Amino acid sequence: MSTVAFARRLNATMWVALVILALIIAIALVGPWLAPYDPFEINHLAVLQAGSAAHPLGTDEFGRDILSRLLIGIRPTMLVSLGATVLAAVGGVTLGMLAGFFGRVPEFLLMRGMDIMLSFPPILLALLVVGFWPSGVGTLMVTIGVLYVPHFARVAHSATIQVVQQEFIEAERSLGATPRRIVLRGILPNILSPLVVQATLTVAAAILLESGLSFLGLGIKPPEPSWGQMIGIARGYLAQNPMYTLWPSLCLAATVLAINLIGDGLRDILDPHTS
Amino acid sequence: MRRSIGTGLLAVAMTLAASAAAMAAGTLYFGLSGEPSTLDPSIQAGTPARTVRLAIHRGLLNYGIDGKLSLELADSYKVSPDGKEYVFTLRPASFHDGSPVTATDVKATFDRMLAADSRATYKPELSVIESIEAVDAHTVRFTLRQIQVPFIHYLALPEAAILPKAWLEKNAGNATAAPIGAGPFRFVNWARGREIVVQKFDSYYKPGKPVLDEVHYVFNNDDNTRVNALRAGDVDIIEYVPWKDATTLAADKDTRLESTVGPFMMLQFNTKFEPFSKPEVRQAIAYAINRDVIINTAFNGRGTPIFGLAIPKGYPGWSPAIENYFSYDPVKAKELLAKAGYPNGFKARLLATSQYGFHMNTAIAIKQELAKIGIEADLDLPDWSGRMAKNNAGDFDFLVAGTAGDITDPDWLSNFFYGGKQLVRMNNSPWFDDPEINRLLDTGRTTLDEAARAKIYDAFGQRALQLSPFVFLMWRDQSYGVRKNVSGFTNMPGFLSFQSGYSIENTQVK
Repeated sequence: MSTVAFARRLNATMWVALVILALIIAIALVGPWLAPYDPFEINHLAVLQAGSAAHPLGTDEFGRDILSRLLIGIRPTMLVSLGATVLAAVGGVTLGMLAGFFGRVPEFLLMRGMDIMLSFPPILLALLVVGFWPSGVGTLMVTIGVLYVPHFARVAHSATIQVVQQEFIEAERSLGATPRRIVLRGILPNILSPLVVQATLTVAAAILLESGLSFLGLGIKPPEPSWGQMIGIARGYLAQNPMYTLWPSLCLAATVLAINLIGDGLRDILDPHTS
Repeated sequence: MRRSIGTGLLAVAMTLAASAAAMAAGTLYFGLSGEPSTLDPSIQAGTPARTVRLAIHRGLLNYGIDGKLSLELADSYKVSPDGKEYVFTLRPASFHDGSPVTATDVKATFDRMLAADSRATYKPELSVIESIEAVDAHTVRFTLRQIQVPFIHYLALPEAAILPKAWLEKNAGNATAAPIGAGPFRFVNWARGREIVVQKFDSYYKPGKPVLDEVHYVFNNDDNTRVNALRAGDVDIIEYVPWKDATTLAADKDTRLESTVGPFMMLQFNTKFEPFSKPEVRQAIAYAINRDVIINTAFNGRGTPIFGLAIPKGYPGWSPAIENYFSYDPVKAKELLAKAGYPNGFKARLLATSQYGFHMNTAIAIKQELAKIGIEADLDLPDWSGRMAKNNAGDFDFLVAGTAGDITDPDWLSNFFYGGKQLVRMNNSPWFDDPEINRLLDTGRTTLDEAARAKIYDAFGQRALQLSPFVFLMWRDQSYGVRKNVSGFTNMPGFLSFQSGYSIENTQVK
C-alpha cells in the first residue's frame, strides 16, 4: 500500500497517538539537552517542593528538578523496550517461521515450548531472572526480550502456516529454491503485517514491564531515573509532595496509550479482512 | 432451611465476637522492617531478629527500660577483688518447656558460644572467659583470663541469652529448630514470609508479666506498607519509622511517635582496597561530605552531624575537641587525596541496600558529594540479606552502615576498631589492625580506675581520628510508631534503641 493511501486511512485518534509518540521519541533523543537543570544535582535545601516558577513540576526527595529527571527518564525505558522488542522479534519470528515451515516434530517441539513459556506470568519470570543478574539496561533488555519471544513465535507461526499452503510457495519449492530462500524471500515479506502490529504492542508491554520492575526496585538502578522507578519512589512521598507521583505516571500512561492506539490502528489498516 | 441459616448466622456472630474479645484481651501486631534471617540466639542478625528474640529469651542480665543493667535470670552477683571471678546466683525460673533454669544450662550456653566452630557474634568479647563452673544448681562461677571491666555488659546482650542444655544437645546442628527460652513469651510458629507468632508464657519469673496474651511479629519489609499498616490499624507498633513519615505519624490522632537519638550512620572501609588502605584518603572523605545533604535528603532533617567520633556525650572518650575534629572542607579533601597519590580521584564500589530507603538515599547523597572531589562511587544495592552477606564477607570497597554501639560501656568501640583474630566481621573495617589502637582498647578494657580509663579513651579518640578507619556521618533519630491505645512500650535510650523489644513484657493494648 502506498504511503498516501496509508495516510488517508488514519483517523483522528491515530493522528493524536502519532503526535504523542513523536513527542516521546523527540524527548528520548534530545531530552538531556532540553533539561533545565542537571537531573543528578542534589539540592538539599529544596527537597520535595511543589511546583513553582523555578521548578514547574517541583522537586524530588533530593531537591532534584522533576521535569529534568522526566526528560532523561524516558531513555532507559525506551532503550529497554525497543531493544527487548527487537530481540523478541528476531528470536520469535525465526522460531515461528521455522516451526511453520518444517512442520511435524520441530513444529511440535518449538510451539509447545512457546506454550510453556506463555503459561508463566511475565512479571514473575522477570522477577526470578532479575534477582540473579546485576540490574541495568542490558539485563532488562535481554530478560524482557526473551519473555516476549513466544508472542512473536505464535504470530509468526500461524501466519507462516497460512502462507506456506499457497501455490507460489509450492512453485518455488519445485523450482528448487533452498529452504532459506523460501523462508526469507517467500514467507517473511508476506507475514510482516501481523508482526508489525505485534511489535508495537510488545513495545508497550515492555515499557510497562520495565516500569513495573523499576517500581519494585529491580530495574534501573538509582540515581539513574526511569519513569517506573520514579513512580515507585514517589509513592513514599505522597504526603510530602503529592504531585511527585503524578508526573511520571501521566507520562507513562500517555506513552503506553499512544503506542497501543497506534498498534490497534495499524492492525485495522493492515489486516486484509478489514481492508 | 431458615433455621439452619439462623444457626449459621449465630455461629458466625459468636465467632466474630469471640475473636474480637480475644483481640481486645491482648493480641498485639508488631510490624517488623524485615524477616529475621535466623533466630539463633547467639547471632546478631539485625534488629528485627533481636526484637523477636527479646520476647522469647532472657539472659543472666539484660538492659532495662531505663537504659541501665537489669538483673534477669541472675538475681545477684559478686565480683572478686581482682576482677577475674564473677559468681552469679540464679533466681527460680523455668524455660518454656517447664524445665528449671539451672547453672548447667548457663554453662552449656556459654560453652557453645565459645566453641571453636561457634559463629556467635560476640565470641571475641566473650573469649575472655577461661572457664565456667556450675557450683551448684543455682550458682555459676565465671573465671576470666584477665580482668575485663565491661564483662557484665556483654552478658546483658540479647545474644547472651540462656538456653536449656537439653535443647542445645538435641538441636546442635539444627538452625531452624523452634526456640526455647526463659523469656516472657514462648515461640509458637514462624510462617515464612509472613510472621512469627509468640504466646504468653504463664510461668515467666516476673509476676504479672507479660500483660499481652499473644504477639504477632509481622514482616513489613516495604517502608510505605509498614507506615500504612500502622495508620490503618493493621499493626499496633512499627519499628524503623521512615524519617519522611515521622511528622505524619506524630500528627495523626491515632498514632504517636516514640523517638530517641541513638544510632549513627557511618562509612566502613575495606582497607585491602588500595586507596582505602591510606588514612589520608579516609580523612579526605571525612572532609568531603556535607553532612547536611544527607540529613536533609535521606532523613528529612531529623539528625545531627558528626564531625568526629560517634561517642555519645557523657560517655568516656567524648570531648568537645573530638566533636569537631573534621569539618566540611572539600578543598582540604582534594589536597589530602593528592597527597595520598590520587590527584584525579579513583573509582570505588559503595555497598548499601535498596531495602531501606535511608541507606539507599545516604549512598546516593554520598555518591554525589564524593564525585565533587573526583571519587566515582559505583552503587551496589542488593536487598538487606544480600547486603549483610557481602558485609560479613568483606565483599565491598566501602559501605554505608547505620548502627549503634552494642553496650553502654565505652568498650563498645572494640567491636568496631579492634583488630584481633577475625579481621573481617560485621562492624569493623576489614583488615584494619592498628597495634596502638589495639593496645589502647586492651588497656581501657582492663583499667578499673574511672579517671585513668577516661584518659585512655581520650588518647584512643585522637588516634582513631588520625587513622579514621571509619568516617562517621551523623546521629539519626530512631523512632517507633505506636497506636494510641498501646501503652507500656519503651523506645530505650541511645544505643539501646535496637533492644527495645525487651519492653514487650510491659506492653498492653487497651
